[in-house]
Amino acid sequence: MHTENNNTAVPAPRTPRRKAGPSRRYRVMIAYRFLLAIFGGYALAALVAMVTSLGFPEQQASATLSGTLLAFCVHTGVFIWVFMVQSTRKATLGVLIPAIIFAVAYWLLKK
Amino acid sequence: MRIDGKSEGPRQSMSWLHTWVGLPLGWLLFAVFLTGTLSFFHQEITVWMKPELHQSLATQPQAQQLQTAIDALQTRAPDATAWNINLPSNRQTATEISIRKPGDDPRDRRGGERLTLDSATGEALTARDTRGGGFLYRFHFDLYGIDRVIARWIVGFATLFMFVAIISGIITHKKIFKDFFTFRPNKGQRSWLDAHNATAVLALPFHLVITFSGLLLLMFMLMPWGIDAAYEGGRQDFFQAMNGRPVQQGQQQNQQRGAEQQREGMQQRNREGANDEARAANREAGERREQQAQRNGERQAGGERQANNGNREGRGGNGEGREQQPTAPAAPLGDLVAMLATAEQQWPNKTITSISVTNPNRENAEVEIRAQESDSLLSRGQQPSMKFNGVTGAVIATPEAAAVSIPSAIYNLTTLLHMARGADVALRWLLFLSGLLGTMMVASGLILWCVKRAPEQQAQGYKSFGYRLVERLNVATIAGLPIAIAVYFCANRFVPVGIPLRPEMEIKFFFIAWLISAIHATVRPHRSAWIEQMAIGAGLFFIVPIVNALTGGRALWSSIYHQQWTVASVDLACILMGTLLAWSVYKLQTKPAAVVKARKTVEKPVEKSLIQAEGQA
Repeated sequence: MHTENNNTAVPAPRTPRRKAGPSRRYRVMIAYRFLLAIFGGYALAALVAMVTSLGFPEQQASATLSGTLLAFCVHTGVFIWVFMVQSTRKATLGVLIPAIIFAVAYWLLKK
Repeated sequence: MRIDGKSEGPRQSMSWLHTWVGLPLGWLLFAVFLTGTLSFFHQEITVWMKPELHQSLATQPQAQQLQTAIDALQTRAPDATAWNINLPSNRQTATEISIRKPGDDPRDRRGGERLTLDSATGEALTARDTRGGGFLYRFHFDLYGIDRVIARWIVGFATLFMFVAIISGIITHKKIFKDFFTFRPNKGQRSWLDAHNATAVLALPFHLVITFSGLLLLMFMLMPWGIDAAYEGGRQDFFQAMNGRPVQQGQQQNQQRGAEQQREGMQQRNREGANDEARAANREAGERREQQAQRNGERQAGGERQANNGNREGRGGNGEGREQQPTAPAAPLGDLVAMLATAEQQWPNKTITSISVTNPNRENAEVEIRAQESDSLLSRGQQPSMKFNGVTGAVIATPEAAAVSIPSAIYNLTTLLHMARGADVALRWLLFLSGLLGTMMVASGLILWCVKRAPEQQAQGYKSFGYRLVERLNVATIAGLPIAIAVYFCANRFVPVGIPLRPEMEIKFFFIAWLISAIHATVRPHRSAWIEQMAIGAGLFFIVPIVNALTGGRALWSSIYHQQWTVASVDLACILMGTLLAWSVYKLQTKPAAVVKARKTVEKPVEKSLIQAEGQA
């Protein structure tokens, strides 16, 4: 299941930390990431769907369906991203920047 | 996501995500998975729950069954505008007919008078009032007793979490194939982990497809933004475009939209008021019309949809769009048995189940014959059909279906598999078994959460609130829901026939049983609660086939002997469920020290690293 070299990544002391319980800061960070993944991910997914469906006017029906299929994958991807990266700021930017890009693209396409 | 904020590998963080995205909605997902798995047989369950229909043995040749049905229709309603005949198949024991009288919309698939006939004698059979398998089927995405839209959002949200859990689970397991061949039984926590992995990996394609298509089936509600951005008229225009028709611009769109909203409401009311789930297939077909973008152009064309809209709109106060067909002069109906033979020649490997006649005994009569299995799940997913002139019996050519684009093919394939539409018996059982694996995967994941934290709880000397909550919810769901389902099946036979609100009474039994199980799980010690409830569940599922035989249903040996697989499937599935539960009781009883063993395993350094990588919180 796991390779030997993974053992190095595992910290030994677990129990003492557990007893103290997670700090408030940690709780807020986790709650923030969940909100970011759920709502930020949804917003980005919706924008991807909108841009994809408008981006290919000659095959609009296919593009619309593709965009919607893609949207669910994007939302899942955001979830993975938000919890994969170490820094909370990086996680936020990783959602925010693509969202801005797609929002601008949508705005341009709509014009 | 470590508390101390130290860096960790991607697989550790994915393992964390897997744990915490899986747990909060895990119980709901278990319920959705289990009821959904049983829904692969919802038609069979409905027939099983109407023992009055078991007497109809479909041993005669189809031509004879068809003749019996036509004779019955000719005596009952020679002046009808449409007849629909559903012949017995491996999913239904009796012949079902529906009759549309003049004045009904001839193409509204829900309307008309419905009758069930003994396939041999043509005598009408009156079955008890029950929601049957439709209750479980509806429960798996509409839940029960709450608003349909809210319920679907909740289930959709849980489905997304499931999808995230699957993907993060895959990332966590780099050596996914090695895992699959690794099962270390009787090793406490390791065994639970291996069980979780094995059930996940064995049916991984199924889990991925069923979860993703679950999202797609709800996509018009969950993710309408792409469609709304591209099509002013929303869904209706999108469907038309998918069917390769130009979108009509202008005011009609708004009208359609209004009609659709009205239709939503109508359908909900229809659904709530509807009891006859034996016709679920037809009803679903109507629902698919709204859900499925890619349609069979000829039959389910926009014209029909509009006619339906018009009809429903008409009920809402605006009669526009309703089709009034002038009555054509009388003419003798052609030989349907010969048409059936033609269709049989055309499809040597398919079961023909459905024959519909529009304007019988008129000059403009038309006959359509449909087969049960579809040609390909990629394309229309629609059952193949042939049309005949109802007087002369000449075949009416049907236009070729439009080519299918890649996204439509993905959509069709996954959603049709999800609904097992057009699936034959083997595929249906394969889906059912995969669904059971999925259910066991969710269950073992939930149990694993507890087993993994047991040593820690032991060390601290008491069980924390969260831990106890998870333990109890586990028992109340994983053992409680099967009990509730078995009680629902038994209630079907013990609630007196003919009392008012009989279907609701059966459902009440389902929920009361579930509630009792939840209370039992709260008051009894954890281990005893597991063993007792699993034993009760196993006993109930073993009793179901016996109850069936004793209360007017066809006994298992007889249904197998007469190849009445509709009824036998349900009995066999119950025995399978009972065996699974009994096996887990046996396991629980022979391993009293499971928790302690788990503790020992954690002591080993290598094992510990594995466990932490798996799902450390």
